[in-house]
Amino acid sequence: MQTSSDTNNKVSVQTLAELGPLPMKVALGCSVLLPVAFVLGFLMDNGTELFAFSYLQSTFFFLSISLGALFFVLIQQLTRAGWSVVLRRISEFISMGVIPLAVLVLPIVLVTLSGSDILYQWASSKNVAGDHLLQAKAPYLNSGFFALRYVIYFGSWIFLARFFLNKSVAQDENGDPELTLLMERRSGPALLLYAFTISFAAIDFIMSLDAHWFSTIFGVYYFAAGLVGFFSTLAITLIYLRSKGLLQEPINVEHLHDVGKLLFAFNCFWAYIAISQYLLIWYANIPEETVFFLHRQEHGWGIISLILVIGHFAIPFVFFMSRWMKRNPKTLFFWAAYLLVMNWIDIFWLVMPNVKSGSGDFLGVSFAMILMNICCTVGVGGIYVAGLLKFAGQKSVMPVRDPRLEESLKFHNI
Amino acid sequence: MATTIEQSEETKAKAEPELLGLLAEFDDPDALIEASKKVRDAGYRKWDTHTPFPIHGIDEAMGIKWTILPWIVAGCGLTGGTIAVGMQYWMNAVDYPFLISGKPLFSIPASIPITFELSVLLAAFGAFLGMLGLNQLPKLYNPIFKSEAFRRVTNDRFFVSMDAKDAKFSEIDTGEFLNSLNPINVEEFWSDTESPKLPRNLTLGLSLVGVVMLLLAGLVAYVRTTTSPDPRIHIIQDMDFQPSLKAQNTTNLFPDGREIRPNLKGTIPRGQFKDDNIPFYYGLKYLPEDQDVVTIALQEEKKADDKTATDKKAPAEKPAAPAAVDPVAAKLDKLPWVTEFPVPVTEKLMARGKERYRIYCSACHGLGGEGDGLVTLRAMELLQGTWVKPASYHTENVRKLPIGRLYHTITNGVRKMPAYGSQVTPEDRWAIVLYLKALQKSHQIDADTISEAEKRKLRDIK
Repeated sequence: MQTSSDTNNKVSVQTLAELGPLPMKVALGCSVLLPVAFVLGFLMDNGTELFAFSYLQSTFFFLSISLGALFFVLIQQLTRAGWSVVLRRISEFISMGVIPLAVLVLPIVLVTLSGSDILYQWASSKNVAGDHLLQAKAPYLNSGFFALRYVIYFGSWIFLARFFLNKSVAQDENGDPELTLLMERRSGPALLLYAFTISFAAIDFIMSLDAHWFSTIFGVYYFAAGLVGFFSTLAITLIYLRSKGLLQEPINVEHLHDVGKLLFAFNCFWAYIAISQYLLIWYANIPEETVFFLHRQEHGWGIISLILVIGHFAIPFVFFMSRWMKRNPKTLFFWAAYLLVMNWIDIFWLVMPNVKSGSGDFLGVSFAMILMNICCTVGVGGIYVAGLLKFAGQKSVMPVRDPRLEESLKFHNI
Repeated sequence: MATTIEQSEETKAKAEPELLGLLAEFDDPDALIEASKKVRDAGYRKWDTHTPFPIHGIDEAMGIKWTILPWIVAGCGLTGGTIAVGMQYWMNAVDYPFLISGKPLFSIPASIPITFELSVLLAAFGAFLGMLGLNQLPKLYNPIFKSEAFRRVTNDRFFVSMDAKDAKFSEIDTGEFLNSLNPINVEEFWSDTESPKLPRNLTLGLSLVGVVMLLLAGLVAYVRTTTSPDPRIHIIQDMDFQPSLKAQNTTNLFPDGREIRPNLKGTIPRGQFKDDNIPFYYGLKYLPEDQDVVTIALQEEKKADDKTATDKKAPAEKPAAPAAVDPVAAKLDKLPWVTEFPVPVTEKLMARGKERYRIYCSACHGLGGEGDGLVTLRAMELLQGTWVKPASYHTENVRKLPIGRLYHTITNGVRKMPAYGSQVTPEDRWAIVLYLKALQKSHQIDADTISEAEKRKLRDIK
């Protein structure tokens, strides 16, 4: 594990700053849509409810991407992977998105702490008093403990993301292989912490929107969705950066091919988890469980469910399987963008069917709802990307003195 | 004869070893890749490289075309999926339809796991066997192995082998061409003069295994076609001997010690919900307040608890139960019996009623319903004191009974007649009632209700 001296000479340090000020400007420009969505909330029927849920959907869509990135970084360290070194730094940048998201999720926690049931029924003591199930779940589902868990989840993720980015960046300076060993040793416990926090965060923030319903696989479902989102984002980012002249030499079609393979594999994994959840509930046919899927077949949600089955799984499974699709940057970009949209629809499908009007009726899919969601997503996305660019700053886009860099540079699929 | 042919073949094989190709040896992978590119560009088709480890880029250097293996795998996977769906459809919805927890006989979600697994299985078979087939494996022996130099192919040497079957191949030109690639060495390899033989021990061992397997198959076939007084071997004990629960037994599985479980409060056993069609199930227009009367049967003696009374009963007394005094009879008379059939009256129902009547009723009541069935006749002949002669259907009293009452009698019994509700389905009971009404009509009919033609017919019979 010796840093080869010629690697240092060969590889020039590139930073995202070479992209110029345009990306930052575009990101900040997009973030204007968030206040627009907020204002729209006052103009639309049931606008407040729609805004609250859209906001939750948008933040958790981007959170899933950052958490996917964090998982990727951890698993690369744990398995001592060599091939992925050149694209690990970008993943570390994406995982830093948990910091802007911690701030963005804070209003949700504050609203819940204030006892408003706009998102979570269990947050209002009035609802709990009239509901036996909510009473039984109150020791866990109460706003104080919820806020505490928010601190634990985001605290853990920020800690992990910062730790692995900072150690890796420090290695850019001194090239100390001990840092790699340190990260490898820490990655095991870090993954345990990660597994628990992402599972419970999915349960707390999304599953408890319908506090009567429960699914033990829900945490894994959100995790799978996040990995699809992350690998899509990674592929899009890499192809974009390469088109702008960044990472053009170190990252070649072999690395893109592997990112494509992982994207395809985790898309199948997502489908596997989704069908596991559906099949058990379908078979047992217990009303308190089937209500989740029954509700997603009514009020226009049936079409969204079908889009997920066919669009998220069947179509990419058939057409994205081919090696050629993954090795051609253009087709890879298309499928990555396509699956990112599908991931967005997936989170949309998880969150939005829970929107109730002020009088307590469930709202169907409507143009207003989709418009609100798109505004929120673009707005939150602007802040998210701006945050990522800020953290990336003057850091190298590649771990230039990682001891396994050479292995990664010479990586070749058979 | 045979020996001469064999000999001649052997001598022929021995006489002319054939040139199979040329072998060029290199000592590093880069040289091999360079050489491969040149061989590729020279237009040879039938040639190969041999290396101790996989070399990146050798595929491009050799100009190897894409394999059709992915399509074989896809075809096998699709076949597996089709077989799985077809099999499940055939088994569950056609061949042996069996309702499981109210699910449709064939449904897509239930089929997904097996479809998935069979697709993967056949795809894996396709990949594995297709790979073996396309690579012409397993190939235990190759004449190239005779080359001394070739032994180092698993250590540190790299080879290009040119097949003599190639259209461009010629011993001299190809040899010169190979030499121009700067190999360490070029040599020829020849076909074997005699066919390689399997080692004797291997032949013996394989035949032994074959015989043992045949023996096993023969043993299974033998025991499946013969009988034996020995008890069978139970391999899966806990499936063959299950601690099953039976009615009327005790168990310590439940605290109350009963094996038959009482109905849960507020539940109705499957098929026991009758309140949605009271006329059909009870023969009543509506259920009376006192629901117990619905299932009671008229007894011949009110003082049934008086034991001596049972013995003293004279058969003559019984048929005419003192209806005026009997509170049960009075209760039954007051019930709101249906007078119209709650089922559609059809030829089919009549035929069914006739058949059921002859099976269940005629033994006592007689084929014509006069109360002269074979059992009755025999009992009368034996002067059985306890036998109550069944009433004829053709008495004024019975003729006046509403059909709901007849249905009730079949269901719950009357006097000595047992209840038939548990043996005859409600539909069949109504069929019997229908046939019974027809029997009554056939015995006594008002002349005004039949047509002239029918009257004439009846006269002609006389």
